[in-house]
Amino acid sequence: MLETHDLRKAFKKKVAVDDVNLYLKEGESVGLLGPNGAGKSTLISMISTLVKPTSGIVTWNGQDIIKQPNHIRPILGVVPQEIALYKELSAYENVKFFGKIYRLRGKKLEEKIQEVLELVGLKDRQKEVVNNYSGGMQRRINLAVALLHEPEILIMDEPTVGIDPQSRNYILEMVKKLNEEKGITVLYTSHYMEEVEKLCDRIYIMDHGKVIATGTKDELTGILSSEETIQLELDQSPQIFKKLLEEQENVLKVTEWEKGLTLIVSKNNRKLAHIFQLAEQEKVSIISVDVKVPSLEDVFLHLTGRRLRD
Amino acid sequence: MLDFLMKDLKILWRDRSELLIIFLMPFVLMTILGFALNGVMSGSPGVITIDVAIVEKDQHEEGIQQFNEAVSSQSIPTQAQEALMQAAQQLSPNALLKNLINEELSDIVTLTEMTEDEANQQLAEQEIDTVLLIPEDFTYDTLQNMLLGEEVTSTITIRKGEHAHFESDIFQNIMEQFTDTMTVESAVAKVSGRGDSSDVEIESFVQEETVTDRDSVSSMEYYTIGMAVMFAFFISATMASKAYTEVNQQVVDRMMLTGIHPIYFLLGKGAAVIIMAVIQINILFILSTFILQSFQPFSLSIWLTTLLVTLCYATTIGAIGSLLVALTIKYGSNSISDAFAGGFVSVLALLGGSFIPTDGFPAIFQTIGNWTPNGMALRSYMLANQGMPIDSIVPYLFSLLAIAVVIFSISIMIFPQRRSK
Ligand SMILES: Nc1ncnc2c1ncn2[C@@H]1O[C@H](COP(=O)(O)OP(=O)(O)OP(=O)(O)O)[C@@H](O)[C@H]1O
Ligand SMILES: [Mg+2]
Repeated sequence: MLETHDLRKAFKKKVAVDDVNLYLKEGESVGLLGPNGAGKSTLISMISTLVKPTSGIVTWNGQDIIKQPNHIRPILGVVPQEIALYKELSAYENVKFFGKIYRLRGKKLEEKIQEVLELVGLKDRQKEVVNNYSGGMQRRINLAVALLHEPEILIMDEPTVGIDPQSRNYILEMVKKLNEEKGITVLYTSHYMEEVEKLCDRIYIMDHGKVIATGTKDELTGILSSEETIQLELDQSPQIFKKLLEEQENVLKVTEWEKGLTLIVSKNNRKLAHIFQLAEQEKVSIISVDVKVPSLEDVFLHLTGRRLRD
Repeated sequence: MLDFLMKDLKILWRDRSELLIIFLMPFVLMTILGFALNGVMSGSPGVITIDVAIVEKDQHEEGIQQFNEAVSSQSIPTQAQEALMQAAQQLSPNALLKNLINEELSDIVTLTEMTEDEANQQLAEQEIDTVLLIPEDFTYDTLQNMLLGEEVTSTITIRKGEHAHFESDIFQNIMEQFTDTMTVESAVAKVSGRGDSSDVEIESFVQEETVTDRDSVSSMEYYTIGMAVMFAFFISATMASKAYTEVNQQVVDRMMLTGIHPIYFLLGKGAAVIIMAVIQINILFILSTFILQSFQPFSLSIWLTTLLVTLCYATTIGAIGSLLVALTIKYGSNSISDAFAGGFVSVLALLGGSFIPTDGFPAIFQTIGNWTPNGMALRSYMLANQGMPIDSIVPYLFSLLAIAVVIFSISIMIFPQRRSK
């Protein structure tokens, strides 16, 4: 088991990670969800022994891996947020180089190279220079390199950021398979709800350096079980309307989105008719109404009053 | 380490335009600078100046006189006796020695005659670099040794100044060469039975100057070397900026996670710098030789010595490269290597004499300049180029290698185990 206790990282002006406690059991797939700047990268850099915490500890099976990073490094596969590859070299050359510094040699090396290239679906184009790859392909190679030495724990920092849906699905499926079939423990960082919902057994939600909620998807959405989300699409800027809505006792929270307002209301007490009435009174026309089952997005909204992505 | 080296070389090789700049830029700049400054400098620039006090205890005339008497008393034919006396007159070891220093080595050595006390005092005051003591009976003993095959030795003493150990070493080497040739000479004299081959041996260690308009060519030669030693520094900085990209792209993170010892990473970088520097310097020299004809006629031994200097200097440059790389990674910033390339190199180049010979500088700057790697390399190249024996260059080369070892060790020590930020 990999655990953190009151893990903290303070930079000069900012506390990036604020006393975080989390754990990762063997074979689990855990998601780390949070908006930009939440402290996800900083947190997992500390877990993967690359950054020294300001305070707190990280243990792996009881061993302090801050003091002894080499206990865990050999079994860690880390996929950095950046494309950590030599862009001037081909996919094959990159994978081979890292394989060599992982001390793989000869036939074994060649086998592993082909295996991971096959896994990420780039076997056919391995001779091309990474610079010429699409973003999605670069991400896939980025992942391939982390798998070369058969890690037991795979730590991924937004491995699908900014890529086409096809590559994204490919990566998600692959990680799911690695977790389910090979039993690799996964820590998956993202600010895409859907990915984490689909992939992970347990989820940590982070904001401003703190873990603000944790649990399985069902547990998390359970937070909202007594509430419902109503999304209104409106035709105009709704300041007064918003105020009026906030004054309603059944309305718990009102937030703006691009096209209108999102309301969180007590379940069984929607009073939609009343809302329509108010709209008419304020001469705001409602273009569409959407009553939603709570998602993680809503959980986040509920907890922070903000959306995950702006 | 080879894995790292191959990777770095591959990456460099794939960026041809950068490669072209690294390799050809020095030549272009050097040509411009060389021509621009051609008129400014006159005479051949003396890179090394050794101030020598000569303390003369030898009675030159009396020595020859004494020798002649000794010859007369020997039971050999009169004709042979006369030949020997004539040879003694011609050989005149004392004159030969001074002639060597005053004429052949005038570029490097300034000789001042003093009494022993004066010399010692000036040596202590660092007015002079070294003292040359010509012993009593030097002429007589040497002639006996050379021409009569007597087993008498006469010892020239060199008193070296602590403050000028390079200069002193070089001077000592020259003197050793001199005494060696004297012995060789004596062998020749004995075999041929004649003593008039005295003008042969000087050539054996001081190159005849065959270039006619040496003055004008010389400044070009000087700048070629000056630029070569300066531009090599930039390769270190280039390598550090490559490492900065590696930090930014988190490739260095990946390497740290493999648990590989940083020494391999640094050795790879250092070796890449060495190879690049050797290529760069050689391209510069070759182009200068063929296009600008700024070097003296080809001679294998000079060429080999030059190559040796290049290898040693490139090693120092490689170590500096790995230091810059380590600093870049430690601080996660390329500002140190930028500062190095943008300012420090110029200072080093100036102190080391890349732009103008340092003769005119205050003594303290000259001393610092002598200790800069580029300063040492420059002096070594100049000595090699003047056909000096390799012994005279060896102290510089050892210093270069020693500096390389120290710098490389420092770079290993500061290489971090974790990311800096
Ligand atoms: N080296 C650093 N020095 C100073 N501040 C830093 C440093 N690294 C991160 N921070 C700050 O710490 C906070 C958390 O950053 P971090 O990169 O961990 O967030 P993140 O959740 O990974 O965000 P993103 O989704 O954008 O990757 C940010 O406000 C960031 O500006
Ligand atoms: Mg991040």
